[in-house]
Amino acid sequence: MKKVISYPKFGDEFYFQWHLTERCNLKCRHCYQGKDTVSELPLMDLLVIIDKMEEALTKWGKQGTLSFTGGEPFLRRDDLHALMDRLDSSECLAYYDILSNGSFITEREVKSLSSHPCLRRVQVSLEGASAERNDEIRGRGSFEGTIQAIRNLMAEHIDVSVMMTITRKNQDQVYPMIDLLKHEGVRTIALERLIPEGRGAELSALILSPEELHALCNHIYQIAVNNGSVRILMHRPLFGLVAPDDPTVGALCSAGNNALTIMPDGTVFPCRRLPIPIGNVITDGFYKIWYGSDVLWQLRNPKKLNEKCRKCDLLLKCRGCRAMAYFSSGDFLGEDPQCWH
Amino acid sequence: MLALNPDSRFELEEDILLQALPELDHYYAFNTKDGDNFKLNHTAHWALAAIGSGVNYSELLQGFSNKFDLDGKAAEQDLKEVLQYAIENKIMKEVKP
Repeated sequence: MKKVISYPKFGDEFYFQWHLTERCNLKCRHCYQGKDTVSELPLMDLLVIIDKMEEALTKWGKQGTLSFTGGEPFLRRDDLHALMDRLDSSECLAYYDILSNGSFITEREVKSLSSHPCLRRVQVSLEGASAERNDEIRGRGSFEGTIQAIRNLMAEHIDVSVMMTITRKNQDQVYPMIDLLKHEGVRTIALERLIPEGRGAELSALILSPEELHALCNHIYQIAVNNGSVRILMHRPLFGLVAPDDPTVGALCSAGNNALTIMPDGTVFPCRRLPIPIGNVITDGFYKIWYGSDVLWQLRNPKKLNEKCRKCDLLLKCRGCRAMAYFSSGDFLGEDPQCWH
Repeated sequence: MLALNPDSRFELEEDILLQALPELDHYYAFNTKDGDNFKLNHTAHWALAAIGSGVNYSELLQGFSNKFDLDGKAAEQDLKEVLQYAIENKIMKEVKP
């Protein structure tokens, strides 16, 4: 019987983004990964990490949510399922998602996935609403593969969301993408900005100017308000600037506040897009990292932010993307260069 | 009740870490081993930080009184409460000579 997934109350959630591997069968041009990959912990150590997560969540009185990702997480398929088995019986975890490129989500795989009661959703990525537009970023054949993965997941009633990374190259694809997702029965799309890091640094010229992003966010907001069946997730820094009084739009960055990213070798980052090592969960544990990291304490303190953010009338609603600031200026407390406010 | 004399010395427990966001008036003590966390006020944080620097009770009381502009009796009473709380919660311990 499918367990009913519970959603943490506002303020009760702590989110882990867990990269099981950096290996990937695709080589997407905008990926935040660079050339080098880190070593991978064995399953035994990964299970220890879950023990540490549960201990910390209990101590903090938080409900955990988690995303398994990579690289491509299905390249560690057996370990992935073993971890899901373990989390399915966890009292501390509300649910988990899988963020995948979809390549290995076969009909047989989705039958296995459907047996995991705490799997909330599988997120796959598309960069355009046609093979031509998508594959120029994600590689030949990836569009068809992703669409097939979506259909396989939908056939087993597994919730699907699609992630799209917005650049100058595909900003015209938002509306066609929504149409495509409606057609496929997908109910959720997440839009993210390109951060110039990893391989994505070579696409810096495709990053939208503040004026372009402003116009696009307005456009997306109008689609979101008037669109019926596909929910556009707009809980991202800067998005809130288009509708400051709408609580469904925009969000403070979770880095330093209620989230951590764990890399395949146990290294911990504030966020995958802000790859500043703040410890290793195996050797340091979560408490030492969460309580002791100077980077996290700076992120928690809005008074440390750059002057523009610090004096902004929307400081309580948005503090920009710290990763975008970091990769643009080298200062993670600096200005978000795409801010138009 | 905590018995204090001018030569009493204290130290923070081994895994205790003090943190502060003074601009926001947020002060904390954390135990990095068992995860316990304590929200403090500015005076308690100041006293614990001074204890971490190795002063004895007499020096601590004098500094506390000066820092927060308290007369001797009020300073002693406030400081005793802070120390009592910190010992009860294993944030610090008395060092026996």
